[in-house]
Amino acid sequence: MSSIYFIALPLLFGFATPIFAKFGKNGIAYSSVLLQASLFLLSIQLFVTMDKSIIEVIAIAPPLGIALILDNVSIFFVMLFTFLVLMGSLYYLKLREKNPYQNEAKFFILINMLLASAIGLVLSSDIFNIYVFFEIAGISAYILSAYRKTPKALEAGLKYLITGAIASIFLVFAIALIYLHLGTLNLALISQGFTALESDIKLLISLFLLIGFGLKVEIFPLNFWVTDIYEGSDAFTDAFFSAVVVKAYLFVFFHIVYLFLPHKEFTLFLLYLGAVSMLIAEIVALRQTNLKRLFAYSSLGQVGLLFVAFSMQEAVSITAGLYILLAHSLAKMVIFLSLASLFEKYKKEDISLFKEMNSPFLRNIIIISMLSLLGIPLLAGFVGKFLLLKSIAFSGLFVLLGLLVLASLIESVYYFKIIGFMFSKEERGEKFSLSTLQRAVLLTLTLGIILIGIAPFLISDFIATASSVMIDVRSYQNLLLGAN
Amino acid sequence: MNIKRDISTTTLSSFTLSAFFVLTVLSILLQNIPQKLFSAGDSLLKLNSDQGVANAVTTVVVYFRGFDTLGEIAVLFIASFGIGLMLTSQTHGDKNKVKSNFMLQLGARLLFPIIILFGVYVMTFGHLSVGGGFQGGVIIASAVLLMFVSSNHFHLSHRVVEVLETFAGISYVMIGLIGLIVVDSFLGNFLPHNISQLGLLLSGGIVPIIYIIIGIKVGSEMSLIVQNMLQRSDND
Repeated sequence: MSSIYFIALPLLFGFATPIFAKFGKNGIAYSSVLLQASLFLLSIQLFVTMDKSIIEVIAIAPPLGIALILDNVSIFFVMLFTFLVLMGSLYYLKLREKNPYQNEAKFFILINMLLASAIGLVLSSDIFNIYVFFEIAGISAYILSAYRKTPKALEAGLKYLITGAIASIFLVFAIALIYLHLGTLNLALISQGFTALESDIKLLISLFLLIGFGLKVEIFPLNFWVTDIYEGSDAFTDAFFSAVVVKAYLFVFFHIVYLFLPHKEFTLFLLYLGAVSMLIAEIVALRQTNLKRLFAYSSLGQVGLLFVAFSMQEAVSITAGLYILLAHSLAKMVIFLSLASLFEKYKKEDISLFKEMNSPFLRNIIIISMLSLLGIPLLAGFVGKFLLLKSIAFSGLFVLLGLLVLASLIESVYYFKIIGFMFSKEERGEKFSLSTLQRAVLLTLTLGIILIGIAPFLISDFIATASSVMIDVRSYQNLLLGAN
Repeated sequence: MNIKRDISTTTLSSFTLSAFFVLTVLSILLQNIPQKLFSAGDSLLKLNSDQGVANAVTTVVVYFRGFDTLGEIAVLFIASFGIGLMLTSQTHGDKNKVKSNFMLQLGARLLFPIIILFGVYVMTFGHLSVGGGFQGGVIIASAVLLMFVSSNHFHLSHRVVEVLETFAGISYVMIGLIGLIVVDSFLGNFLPHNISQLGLLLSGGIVPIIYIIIGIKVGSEMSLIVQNMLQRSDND
């Protein structure tokens, strides 16, 4: 069984869309869902049968050639991404019936390209290959955000294009410098040679990498553009941006940090950057009335939290980070998918939407997701936040601890404001209910949140192994270089 | 002259700041030029003879870094697709067209087949001499552009371009997957590629085939981009 299928099959699907379009109106939609379902099953099967890391060599052996590495942590991301994209596509099957402006065929090409590139980012072990997937993910995301062609959507697409181009320039410059000084593009060889470089060059490369990836992972102060894009794009698209794309960039960024720059000063800088990012995002979120903007700021806050978790560079805090990442992806998927349906129905994106909303089902699952994001016990978000705060307390970083608790308190203010609106005693319209398929999708995601919250021990072994694999640079180098 | 009136303070200060950063970066770069240049090129060149391809650059682009090239093709595909999505269905810009000169029309029509032939040559002989699929594809697209400029009535058949583009995309990934099955490596060279055939048209196994496919893909995508930018479609 090979990991290349996760990249090759979605690409093949994208190239072959005109053929699938021949099978009637729903040809592309159904075949895309079928493809994503089979990829998800394939990832489950790979996970069950995998007993050690698998290295997939393309054409010639590394360090000269490109290799894909499927280890415990990348299989986690592959399973998560295929699952979320499958759920999103299933939801979209019903959503698009009410959306005349969305031509379903083209939409699924972009979704599949996004899936292929997110998985490629996670699996690839060659820095230029990572850049190529960075570009594919970027361009599909620009088009997705401009998809509706309303003035706001076009503005969002253009803004995304410009910031994405700047990020690409910085990244490609960093790669060029690395190649100039080390003569290799292989992650393992770079990580071996990086410490011997001149300190000026090291600083320059890490700065460029930080700006290039920082723009994409939405970290303060490089995240000024994010909320405009979330506001301009469709809520359905935001679900993918928040749950899949950012997570792929985040993993690659920290993978590179662990491999190249595991210096305490640099990670301490990232640590406080994450905390400040979270605090500022949560403070700004308080004043937002547009729901997309509000949840975009909440995403930025969670990214800050993830930054803190991954910058600690300890197996425990990375475990916490993976839990937070999983919980956040599930919760944001639920929230943005529900918002997509609600915006469609009520034709407004204001926070007062929740005063009019009359749908107990949607109300309950949105509340569960928000409470999970807050970190209420017995929900998925609690496990990660608890582990993270515990490991920060053990490290003695009490200022950081205070910042995070403060940010969480501020976060709770606007979540409870929304919950208050949901229960306000105002005149509500007729009851709004979703189709069975959409309910099933949202219910599956919410059950995932509850199940992880109640029984984190079900996946704790897997996540603990994944985090120890992620930080184990030595065995990654041996795996990548021992193959030739 | 009042500088403060003509240029705002913000512009001036941000310009100074960027100039300062650029100079800092440049000085760091110039002070740290590596004494000995490392590069992967020499070791790749040593491996090249295994593939029986006369042009080593082609081997690197199509075979050693074939996965990157597949990614680049995907980038081109989505970019062309996005341009099509964003630019079509808007008002057509044909109203104010001036009829072009007779000599221009005739010249373009004479040149068109020659440029196409040259593009096909560059594409097919990419593994033997300079050139290749990307260059050949762009040459073909430039012929299409010439026809668009010279004639008001020229348009590409959307169907034909779509068939070519789909065929090229599918066959690229399929060749990769066949390689995975036959020689156990994605994009592996599963056709005979003996060094004794070096320099022949039929040499190098899958390398020339993939480069021709890339040429078809690039040619059709670039032509579609040209057509979409001029906002002409089959419907007018």
